[in-house]
Amino acid sequence: MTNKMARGYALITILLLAGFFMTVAGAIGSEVITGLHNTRARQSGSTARFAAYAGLQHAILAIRNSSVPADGRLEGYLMPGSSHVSYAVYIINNTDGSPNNPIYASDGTEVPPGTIYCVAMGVDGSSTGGDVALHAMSGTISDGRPILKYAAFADHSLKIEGSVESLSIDSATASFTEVSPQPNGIQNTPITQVAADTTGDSGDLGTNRYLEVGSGVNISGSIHRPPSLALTTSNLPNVVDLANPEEIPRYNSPATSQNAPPPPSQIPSPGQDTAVYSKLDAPLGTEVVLQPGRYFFRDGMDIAGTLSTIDTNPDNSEPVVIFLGGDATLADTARVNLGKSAANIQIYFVDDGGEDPLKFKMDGNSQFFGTVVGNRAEGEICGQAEFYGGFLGRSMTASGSAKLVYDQSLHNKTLGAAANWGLNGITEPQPEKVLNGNQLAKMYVQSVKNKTVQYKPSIGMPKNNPTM
Amino acid sequence: MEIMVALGVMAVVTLLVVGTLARLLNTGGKSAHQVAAMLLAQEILETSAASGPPQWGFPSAGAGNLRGERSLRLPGDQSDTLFQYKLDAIRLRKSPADLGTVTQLTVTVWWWGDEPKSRAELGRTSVELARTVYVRGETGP
Repeated sequence: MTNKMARGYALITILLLAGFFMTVAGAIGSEVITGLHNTRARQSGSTARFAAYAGLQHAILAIRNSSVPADGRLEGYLMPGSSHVSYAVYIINNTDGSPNNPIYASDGTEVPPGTIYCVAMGVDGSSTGGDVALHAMSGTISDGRPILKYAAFADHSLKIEGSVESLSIDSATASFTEVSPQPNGIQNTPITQVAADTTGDSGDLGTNRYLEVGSGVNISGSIHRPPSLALTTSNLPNVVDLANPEEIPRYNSPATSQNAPPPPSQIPSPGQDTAVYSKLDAPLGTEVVLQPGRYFFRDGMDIAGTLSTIDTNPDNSEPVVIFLGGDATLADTARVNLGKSAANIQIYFVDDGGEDPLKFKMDGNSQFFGTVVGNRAEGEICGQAEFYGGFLGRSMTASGSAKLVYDQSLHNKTLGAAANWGLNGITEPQPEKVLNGNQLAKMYVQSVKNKTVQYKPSIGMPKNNPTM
Repeated sequence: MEIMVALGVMAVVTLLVVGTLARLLNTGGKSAHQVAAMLLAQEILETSAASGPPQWGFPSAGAGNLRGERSLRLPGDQSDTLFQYKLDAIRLRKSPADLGTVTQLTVTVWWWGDEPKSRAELGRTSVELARTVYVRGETGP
């Protein structure tokens, strides 16, 4: 009886032990498999992230060579010939700042004038079960390009001598107001205060970035970028004819009128191309009329007469853009773009890597309504000359009874196109997290002056047709 | 008889559990190496992209020179594991209109061997990451 009662205990005990061991083994196995899944997800996330990086690089290339599709959407594969890993980029280009501003992406992100908003999404489709890792990132350009907020920027020196008037005029409303100093947001530490009526005072900005002039507030100047940011040939927007880039810089091999001066009369519109001339010369008593378009003057320009523009578009979206390979001199009673918006005439000094200054000189009773930008540009305004608009260059000296007048309509206007200047601001932020399925992590990094501010807009990709 | 059956069951279960655990431990070990290799690949790729051509962050440029190695001690390991890596830079397009070049960067990181390969029961002992880089103003061959 006892033996019968004991029969089966050993087997049951062994089976129970076996069950226990197998349960433990299963738990360990489950843990390991979970770890493998996590590893695979991380791998997939990394792959997708780098696909998104590739998309952003594609976007930069497209912006650079003007091949962004009309809908602002770019797609591609990370590895040529492989469709497992792909990317999609949405680009909203708001560099021109007009006419519908600010632009809001469908995710609610504000795309202010002068910025490009990119969202890149990487997809690793090699994961099983449709488990797709998505990444997104964006970059914007801020004001690392000509945005003229002040009457004059100078990255070497800004020198004020004598009695210099400075008013602020909004050419759009034609209302004159006193200019008020506006901290540039980079560094709000004034290094000097120069009274407006103080003769001979000057401020060498050195490594500082901010200069505010006068309790009477006649002029405000600031360093827009530290001097280490060199402007190069390619920094000058549109100076390169993309169809013939081997001609960089163009003035080494001017296409037309190499030796013949342009006639002091109406110059025909260059159309899509840049008209290349040796020099713009408008002596006293003559008038040169420029149609909207791009012009290149290899040896600069001398104006003693009148240089005017033809308005073909009331919102100034088609300005006269002039690239200069030499000095610009305005003398006597020179009148340039008289009384019109400063954005109408945009002068860019080219830069072939040399160190010699390219001068923008105004003397006599000359009047200039326009903008001047150049890495090597050295502004000099003296006599009774009056400068209305904005200047961005190496240095500016205003003396005598010269007027330096800021056109407030430039405040939110960005000039030129998105070349290196702008693209330097595009960053590649690290996405904060990896999401699966239809979710999308987006980061919006905006380089605001020297700071990087991160925004996290709501989930969703832009659907609107971007302005390109 | 019952004892014999019980011992048999015990033996089978023990073999099964031990075998499975050994396999899982192997797999777990590979997972740890994969994670380390992936992190290393990310670092190399980002460094290379930031450094740019022609050396891409390596001491010397040229075919075959874009290689390196690093010893890492993984959690729980008694000794270092040697991770080797190489970077392949392939120019995808070079058009004057691009005002720069587009290059495909592929980083391969592997361990337990002189070249990336597969091992029995472990599969690949390497990871690969790629991205493209647009280098502005780069006009080299």
